[in-house]
Amino acid sequence: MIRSGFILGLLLGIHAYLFAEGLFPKALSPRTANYDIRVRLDTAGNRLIGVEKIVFHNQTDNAIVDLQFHTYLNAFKNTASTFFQESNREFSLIDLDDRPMEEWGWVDVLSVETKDKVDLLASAQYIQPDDDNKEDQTVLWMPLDKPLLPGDSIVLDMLFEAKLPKAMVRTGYGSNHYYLVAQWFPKLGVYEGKGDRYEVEGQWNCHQFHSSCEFFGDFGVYKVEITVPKGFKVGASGLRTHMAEDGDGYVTHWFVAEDVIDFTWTAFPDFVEVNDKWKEVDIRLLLHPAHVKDSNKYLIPIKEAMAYLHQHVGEYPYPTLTIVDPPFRTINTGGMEYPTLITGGCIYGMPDGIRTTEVLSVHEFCHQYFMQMISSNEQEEAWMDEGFTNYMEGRIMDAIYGEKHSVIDYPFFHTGNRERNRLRYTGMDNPKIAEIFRYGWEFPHGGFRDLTYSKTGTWLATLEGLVGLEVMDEILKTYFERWKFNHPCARDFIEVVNDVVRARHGDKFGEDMNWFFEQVLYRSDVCDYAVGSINVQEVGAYNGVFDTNNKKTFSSNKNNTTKNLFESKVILHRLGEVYMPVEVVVRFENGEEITETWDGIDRGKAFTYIRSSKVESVYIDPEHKIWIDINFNNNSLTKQPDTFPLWKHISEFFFWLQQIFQLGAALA
Amino acid sequence: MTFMLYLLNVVFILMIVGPLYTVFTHTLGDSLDLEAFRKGFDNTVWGDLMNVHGDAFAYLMDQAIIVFVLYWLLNLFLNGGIIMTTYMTGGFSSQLFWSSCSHFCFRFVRLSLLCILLHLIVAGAIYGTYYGIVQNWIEGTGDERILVRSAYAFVALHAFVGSILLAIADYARIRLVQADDKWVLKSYWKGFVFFLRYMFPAYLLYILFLSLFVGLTVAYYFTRTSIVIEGWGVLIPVIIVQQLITFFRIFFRVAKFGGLNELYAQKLQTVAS
Repeated sequence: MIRSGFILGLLLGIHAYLFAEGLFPKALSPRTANYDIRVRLDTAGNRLIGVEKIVFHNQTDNAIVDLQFHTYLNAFKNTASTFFQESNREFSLIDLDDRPMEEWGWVDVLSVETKDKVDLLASAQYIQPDDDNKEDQTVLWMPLDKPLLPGDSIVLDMLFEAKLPKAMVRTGYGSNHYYLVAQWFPKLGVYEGKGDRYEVEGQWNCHQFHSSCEFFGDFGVYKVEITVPKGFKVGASGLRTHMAEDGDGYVTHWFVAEDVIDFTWTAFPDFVEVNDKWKEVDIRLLLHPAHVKDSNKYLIPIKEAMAYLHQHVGEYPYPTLTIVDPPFRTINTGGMEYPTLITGGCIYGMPDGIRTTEVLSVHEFCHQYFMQMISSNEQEEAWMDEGFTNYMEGRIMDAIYGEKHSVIDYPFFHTGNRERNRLRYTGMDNPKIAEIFRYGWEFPHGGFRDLTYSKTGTWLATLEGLVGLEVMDEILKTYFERWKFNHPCARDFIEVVNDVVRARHGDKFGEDMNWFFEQVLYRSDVCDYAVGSINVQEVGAYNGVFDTNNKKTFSSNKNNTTKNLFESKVILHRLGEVYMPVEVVVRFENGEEITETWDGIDRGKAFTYIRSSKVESVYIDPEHKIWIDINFNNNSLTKQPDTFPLWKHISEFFFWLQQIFQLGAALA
Repeated sequence: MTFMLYLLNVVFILMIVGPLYTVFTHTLGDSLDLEAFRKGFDNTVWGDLMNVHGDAFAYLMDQAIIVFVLYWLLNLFLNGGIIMTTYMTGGFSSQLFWSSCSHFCFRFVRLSLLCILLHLIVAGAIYGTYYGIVQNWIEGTGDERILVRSAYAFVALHAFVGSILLAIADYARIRLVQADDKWVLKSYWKGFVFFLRYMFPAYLLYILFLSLFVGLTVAYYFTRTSIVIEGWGVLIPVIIVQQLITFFRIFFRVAKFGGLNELYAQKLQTVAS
């Protein structure tokens, strides 16, 4: 009865928002799919009752004959969903045997009508565009009563009911009435016209909810009214314009978010709110009470990240950023990015030298650029957001906290972000398990995370090493300016790289950089350069008769009249399949150094020197510009190893082992 | 005797560190990346080394565990000689030492097994209680502060109770040697009664030696982090200090038995008189 009254009230009492002006004077994006949503949270049943008005503009040259909606929450309806079938190993079906009915989640569309009151729901059905799993209900297909012509718009009134799951990942409720409400409303997929991304013909891009992938949506304006019981603190995408008590123990919060691809919100009575600011951006940190002392673990790196990205990529145009610190029990709703709202993760008592909260904060904020403003398809090309974010996270964290200390920082063990990310890729059991360029759910033998995140971040660092930081920044800025508030694909980023590199480096790397992407993106090969050997032999003076100053002179080693020379031959190997141009530094015993360049293409390369001084050491890529090299340790060879560093650590290890053995003896 | 114990410690460690050094020189010895370790730890060099040669190090660590067990058994054997030597006046006698080692060896093995069993029971009770707290927490609604603070409290409790158990075990060993008990249960019981009866001096003395034993290492750790070792001129003195610390830790272990012997004999004399 409460539900009916609420719906009636909403339908009868639909009122216009007092948004006399938008947040931005001019639209930043095409605003293809726009949503007015009014939702009420029923905390007793963990349900949402929602009324949704959708205004969809056909901005393609195609006539659209149907609509496709994401109904993501149905992934949590049962273990037959594609999400659970794919995440078998992660969640273990065995653990879900005891899950009672009320802990599962779903979303039901109750009615859909056009402006002309045509019922579209009657012929709607769930489809499975990615697999044959008929049980999966995360894509709802709805034929239109008449085609939506190019340039036209359609307005839909939708009624839906959602049951939030007990949070296992991403979305749901936790104990003490914590709610992280993501992927909660039926949301249109992206209609790609001919020529958009890879489309030859126009069609919907609306994938099922896969366990390893995230989301893809179109830009629009969201106006959302959230009604929650009094006492709840609410955070959401966008800006809260006002809030008002309803007089029945509920409070309604009005939010508006413009030029975003999604809308997420959170509610929890116990949040402690901390407000901060970076330039004109209001930062709203919603902390769990246990983590109040850790607010700076969020705020400091976030503000640094804002400044860094502003300088090196582009402007963050939104007036707000909300950071949600989830309770420990529902930390699985953390570590996620939504438009102008990110969820972090913090554990009470975490030592300052372990910067997981900071890393997470920076990573999720970087997603505002790569995935939100540059809205690549996270399902088909996960590397385009996760890899770029991983790369920028490495740059930012290392800039703030130090290259070798940014993630873990203790005297006897420390590691930097970029090096840790590289090691996650190089440390894979099989780094060749798959190429990066494949749909996110098509990694049947594993490797999705390490390849899309770490390998992509690593080859972006390699690109930076090749072209230089300044040119890399220009690539990022150009990419951002060209493709913000749009949906680029791999081809688009490669085009930007080719344009910028050609302009700045000419033909230094050939006609274009396609050879680079061919190897790192479209193939699964690895890169590994190694110094094979340094061979030195003494060569005497040449024997025989020589013309010197128009006279014949005789030279013989027996006469010992000529200073001896040494022939040093350096052999280099390309052990991996990937080739990169490399620098090679050859050092002689007399201190002289020569820097050679090698295009890195042949399987082997030799450098020969005949000098009075022998070659002492050789180093391929001494500055580690080729981050994607799977083993740096074999990049160098020296004829005169200095074992001091080894003795230093061996003696330390020796001592600590003595103490451990002594402890054992004392317990004997 | 202390020097002999120190040498044994060095020999056993060399059994592990020697091969480790060889593996390092073969894998990383000729690489210029070794230089990255001059200033300290480098995770890139270490990570690449483990990725390529991790198996070799894994085998060494397995070997290290076996060597540790052998060292522990050896010290079980030596305890008899150590305690007897510190009990008797007249200085070190190798005949007395080795004969005591073999005389008390199997009783010390049984006593140590008994002590381990008791310790496991006590630790089980302590951490079993914590496990119960965790299970309740899972079913409940509290945040992780309960878990973290409880963990600190239980570890502190374990440390306190554990030190008492260790003290009782050492007094049991003293008793076993002084009275030449045949039954380890009797020795343990007598040690327990002695500890209870003279808890303050007994525990204080034990804690004093324990503090010296642990404190040396802790002091080294906090001092070492502020020393930058980039050349032999600093490394060699540091190695000397490390070995002195090791030597004195062994000395304090031996001295501990001497002190406990003295206290036990004194108190028994007092009772007798």
